[in-house]
Amino acid sequence: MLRLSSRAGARACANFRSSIVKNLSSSLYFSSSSITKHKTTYDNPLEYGTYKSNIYTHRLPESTAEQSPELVALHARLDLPKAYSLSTLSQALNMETKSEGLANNFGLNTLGKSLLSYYVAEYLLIKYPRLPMPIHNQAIDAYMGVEPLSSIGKSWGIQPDTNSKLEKYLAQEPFFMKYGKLRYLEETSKEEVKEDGVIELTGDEISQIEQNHGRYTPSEQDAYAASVRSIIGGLYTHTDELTTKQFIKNHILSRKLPIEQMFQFQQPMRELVRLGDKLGFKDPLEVRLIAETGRLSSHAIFVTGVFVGTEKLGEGVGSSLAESKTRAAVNALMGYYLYSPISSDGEELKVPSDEGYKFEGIVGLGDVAI
Amino acid sequence: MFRNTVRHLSDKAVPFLSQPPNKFNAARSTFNLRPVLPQGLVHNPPASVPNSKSTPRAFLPSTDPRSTLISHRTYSSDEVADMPIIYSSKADRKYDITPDIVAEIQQLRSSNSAEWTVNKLAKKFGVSPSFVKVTTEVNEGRKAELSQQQKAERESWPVQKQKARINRKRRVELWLRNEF
Repeated sequence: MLRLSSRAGARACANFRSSIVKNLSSSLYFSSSSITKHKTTYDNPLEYGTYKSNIYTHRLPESTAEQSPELVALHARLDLPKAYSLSTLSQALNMETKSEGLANNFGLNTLGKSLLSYYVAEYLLIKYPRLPMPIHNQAIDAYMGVEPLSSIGKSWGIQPDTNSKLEKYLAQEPFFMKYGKLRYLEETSKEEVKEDGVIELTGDEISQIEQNHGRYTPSEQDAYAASVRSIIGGLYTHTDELTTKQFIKNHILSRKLPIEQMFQFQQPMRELVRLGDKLGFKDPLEVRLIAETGRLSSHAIFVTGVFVGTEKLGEGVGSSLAESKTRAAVNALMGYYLYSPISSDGEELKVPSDEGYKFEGIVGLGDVAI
Repeated sequence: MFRNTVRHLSDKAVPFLSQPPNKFNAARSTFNLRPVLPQGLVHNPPASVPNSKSTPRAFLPSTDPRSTLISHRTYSSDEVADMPIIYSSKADRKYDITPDIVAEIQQLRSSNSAEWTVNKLAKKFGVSPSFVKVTTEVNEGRKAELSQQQKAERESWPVQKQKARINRKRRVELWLRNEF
């Protein structure tokens, strides 16, 4: 299987950084199902400032955004810099594609996703260069998949805008309140009477479940995840790469990921033998009995080790020889896959986007074919 | 100054003691332990499950500073030879199976899979059963027939036995996930 090397990652980052032009106002617009077809024209394709859209969208005036207490609170809670305007924050919470003509978060979302993918992938490839591909993908998902991102969004205190126009009128809710809320529901679905714990699916959603092998992602979860990505994208447009990187480090990469619990081997002993071939071990792999409590004792315990010559690769404890042998092989494989390099002075390795980065780690050898 | 760590001591200053010395004869009085501990500190870590996050020296790349800096537990060849072998991979694996032999195995298994079982074929051609499984395809009819037989047999078992089998499978999955 192919594995992205960290050098390739560094190159990708450089291309990526040069390709992002910081201009927010014009191109961050997306229309999926409106009647007029969205078309963008430009004088110079490299200058986003000259991009013109045939559908008129406008951004929320800063004065209106300032009136929304939820928006101000979210800005303060996330400790966003002053340069991050409240109107962009409101745009990051807007998933609507049709109504009002306000710019939505499509572009910010794409930008935030690219930033997240880069920093998460770079971190994982440097920190765990030998992870098998499926585990690596799962780890990426565990950091920036829809579910974790939506739970991050909820923990940030973002509220969805679920009240219909009538309810808002009856509650005498000021119009600017909604600009601080996550807007993803259409007006018709807000008016539907909902039963707690019962989700009514549309035909589109049912066909989507079939495509996703029976997995259902509620639209609310998608919206929350998109808003988190958009907030990150907005941070990049208003500040710089360093601030965004620090933000991603603080909010995404700081979450504990128990990678050692994500493994399940099928044939550990066979995989270990193949791995030994790949690494060019001269001696054959041997599983040896290190200690036992005695086979006739009431609860026998065996301790075995996997050896190559006189080097011990792993150790396993079990109540039968088969168990201790399997556990020893699993332990050895985990010791290999979870290897995390350190720099020559014993510090944590720098990632390619860090200043003064020098390649010190390793590039994994790829997966082992059993 | 009160210290609550011993990090300032070099690891040579604290001797490693895998088991306390016995006052009586080590061989004859194994079960009659009267520990005679030396003066001062000894390093005697409690028995624990091996850590999956520490990389063994054989897996450390040569560039890693830990390959030389950290003192790894080493075994002498006598010590290793003293431990009985449970399983060993073959030092010189043979790769002398020709396409003709594979074709013959495939032909036999597809012609009469009830008679030519995997184990029988493996024995006849001197290969491992897993080799036969990899090179030949499963006969769907035979597979359905066997699974039908197994299902009938399983259903005739008492409930306790059925449960025990399921639990055994689950326990093996725990081994493979490094869980306890």
